[in-house]
Amino acid sequence: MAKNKPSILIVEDDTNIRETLSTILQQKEYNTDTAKNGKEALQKSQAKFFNLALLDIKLPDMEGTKLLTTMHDNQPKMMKIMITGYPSLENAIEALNLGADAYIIKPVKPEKLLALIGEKLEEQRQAEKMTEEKVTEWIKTRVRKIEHDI
Amino acid sequence: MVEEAGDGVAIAQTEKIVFANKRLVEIVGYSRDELIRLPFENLLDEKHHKYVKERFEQILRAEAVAAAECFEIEVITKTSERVPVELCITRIPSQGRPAVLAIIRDIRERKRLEEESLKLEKLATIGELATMVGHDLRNPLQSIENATYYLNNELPHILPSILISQKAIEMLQVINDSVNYADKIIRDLHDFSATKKPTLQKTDINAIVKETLSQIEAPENVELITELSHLPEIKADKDMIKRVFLNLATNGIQAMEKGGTLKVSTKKTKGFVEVSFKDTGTGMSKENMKKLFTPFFTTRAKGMGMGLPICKKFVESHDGSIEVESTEQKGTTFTVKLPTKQDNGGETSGKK
Repeated sequence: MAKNKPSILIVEDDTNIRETLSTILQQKEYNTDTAKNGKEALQKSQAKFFNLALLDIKLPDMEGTKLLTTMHDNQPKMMKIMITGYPSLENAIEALNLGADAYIIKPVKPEKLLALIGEKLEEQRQAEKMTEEKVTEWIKTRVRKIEHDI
Repeated sequence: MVEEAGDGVAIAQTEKIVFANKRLVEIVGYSRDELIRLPFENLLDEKHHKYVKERFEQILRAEAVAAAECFEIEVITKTSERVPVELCITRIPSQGRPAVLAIIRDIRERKRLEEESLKLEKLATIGELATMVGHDLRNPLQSIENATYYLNNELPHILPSILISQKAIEMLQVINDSVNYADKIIRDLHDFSATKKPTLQKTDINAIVKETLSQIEAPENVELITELSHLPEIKADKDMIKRVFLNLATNGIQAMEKGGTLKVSTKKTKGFVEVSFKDTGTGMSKENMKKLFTPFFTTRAKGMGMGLPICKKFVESHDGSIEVESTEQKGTTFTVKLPTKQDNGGETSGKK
């Protein structure tokens, strides 16, 4: 059962936010892991699959946008939500263009964040289902073709 | 030539003015005849009076032609108004006797521009500070919010509901409300300092008035009345306008602690749509009225004094204006005027 829990990586340099976020996500039956800087985030996301990552836009060792692009290249299927304390339209547009799946402003209501996470995980499930269906469809077609050829 | 000069020109001998040109007459408001008999020093403000007078006397006494000397002073007009001027004086020979040639340049416009740019600089500094403080406060607020959310959910799990005191639940609610309030302060600071252009779309102002008032919880002793006239749709940023209305209505209600009536009315005037918020509250002094739109000015114990400056900023970004009328102990009326046609400022949503 525990294996099916979606896993979330929290990348945030503020210890209190990191710990409290992790706590409420675990309360909602998610598996969580945390990273306090970009380097740790890249290591962890490469070592293990995460369904979703929450990324702070300002990190001590690298710009959140840099981390975002790298993660987008390495783990395209992982959902990425940017969190920032600097609300601006430019920031938002940049983040979305660089491959973020959503963008939210700090402080965010936990209810809102949880709803957004739920929504993005559902999108991911749907996308996977689509891929599965496509593969099944492709196999079926191939099998029919082979049967026909025989 | 001197007569038609763009600056005021005067010649003074033994402290009396012997010549004054047209522009000087305009600046000081005295007729030429009055000026001719006036001791020059009567025009000087008290702060610079002594110094300028001394320089005058020195120039008149001195043998050599001194280089022109300039001061920024204020001249006192006939109606006791103070006009900032640049006064340049130099010694010239006039009919064989030494005289002082004074050139008086009206620098009201320059002063106004200087003040304006100083104000803008001040606002930019506030903006930078606000962004900094705002960002630093966002993190602790986020942690508090997360922790409260967790406790709210967790308490019923670890304790049967009968054992959770009502007080504890109330206290969690207090934390929640306080975080929301702190959040609002940060947002206000950000709104005030950010240069956001309105996103214009066709808007029914009456609908926004109704929507705003439906969200307001007025105390029992306050009566809300609306008087809405038919209005044409105008292009406006709905969120911004709603913020303005919400703010003005809340201010009105808060000015009526002992109860009263808040009347919100709309009407169409030439080129404008007008919305006024008229309360029967405490009103305010002329002095307070002047400072009303200055950031961080407030008469309330709670509140930062950002509400009205934000309103003004939002309305002006629509090329509109806010007017205030107030009588102490009678009440205050705020009127928002929004142009029916937008010429500039703001982007129309949908096309770039």
